[in-house]
Amino acid sequence: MKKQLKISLFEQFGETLNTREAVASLFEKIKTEAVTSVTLDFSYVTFVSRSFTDQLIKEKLSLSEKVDFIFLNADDNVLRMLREVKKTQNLKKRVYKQIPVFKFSSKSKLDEYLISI
Amino acid sequence: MGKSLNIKAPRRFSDNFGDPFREILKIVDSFNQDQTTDSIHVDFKENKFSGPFYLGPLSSILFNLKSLGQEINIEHSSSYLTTICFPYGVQLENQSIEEITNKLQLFTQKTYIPIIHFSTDKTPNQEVLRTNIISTINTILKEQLKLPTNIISAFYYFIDELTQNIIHHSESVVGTIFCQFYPEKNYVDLTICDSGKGILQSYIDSGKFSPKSNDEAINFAIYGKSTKNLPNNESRGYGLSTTRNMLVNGLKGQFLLYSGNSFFIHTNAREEIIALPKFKFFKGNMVNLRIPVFNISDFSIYNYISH
Repeated sequence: MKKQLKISLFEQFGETLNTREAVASLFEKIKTEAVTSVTLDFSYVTFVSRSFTDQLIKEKLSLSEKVDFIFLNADDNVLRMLREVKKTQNLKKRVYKQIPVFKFSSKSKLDEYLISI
Repeated sequence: MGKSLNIKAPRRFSDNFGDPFREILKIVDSFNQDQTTDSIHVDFKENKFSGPFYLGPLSSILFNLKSLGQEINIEHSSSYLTTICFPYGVQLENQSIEEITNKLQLFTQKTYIPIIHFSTDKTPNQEVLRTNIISTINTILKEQLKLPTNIISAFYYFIDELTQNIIHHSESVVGTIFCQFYPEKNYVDLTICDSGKGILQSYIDSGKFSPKSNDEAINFAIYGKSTKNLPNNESRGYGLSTTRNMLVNGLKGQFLLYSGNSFFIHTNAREEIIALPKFKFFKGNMVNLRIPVFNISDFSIYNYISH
């Protein structure tokens, strides 16, 4: 028998969705409810952080064989974050550059440097 | 009478990004040169005003020392220092989420977020509390700054990424956040710091990448070499790299990261690491952001997420 769950993310967390832990606690609730379909309602949500999104994609995927997910009323900000974060998952190669390292031989030279910034 | 370490806050700081940090280095040096003090005395009598880049890290250091049993005396007559809850932060212990949220929301009409030492404890109660604190900070910043969505999102982004780094990497008991808006100067100074193990130790403990020094560890962290295992469908190591890129290249701001005995500075004029003498070793991480507050209509945080 199908069991559905609808969650208003604004009611749970407010208009900004932050932290991996918030997603983890959300999915603990989903797992204990033993549902087959989950609607995540993004109404009134204006910002989703990268870490929230990354964890959301990962947790959703881990349940994807048992649970259907629907993202309801996700605005352009949410959709864009989902797309950008997906690009970074499973990315093996990243650009690395050597940053120049400097030292100062005296406290006064270090002070001069810091005052100049 | 026991030995006291005296810290005297300067009369004033210039607006230069590096000036308060210079004073923090002096304090760190003093602590490291003499660890046999019985008490610490902090004197603000002659200080006219200090901002987040001095007060944030100093409060983090004092909070940590007090928790270790150090006697600390603060001398000041400043209503500002009292209002921002220097140095021990907004009272969070034995308070309900509603009480804490209500307390923080009193700052909505101010130009600052008070000092908050948030717990990094991973119990469910603390995680809920922390999530609520961050959401409340975001709500307050939105009211204080009145910026368009594309710009205020960057603030939310920085705060989330840098606090998450403390929770997942630092092994610090608390992280510290403090923020001041300067409307007449059109920028916000934000500092987020901890007294944990620092970036180099984090790499050493993970067994990854084997950086040979603090400056190499910072280089690795800035370019996204993560200490976390990377199971499928998870991205790690983007917090610092995307934050500094977004701030400096996107918003024309300034970024400083101090860990161990090195610091990284990134502005539109420079991108470099400074290796410091051993007595300037900082136990933990300190990130200072100077965030210009301008309406840049074509700025989008999404241009910086995946780089």
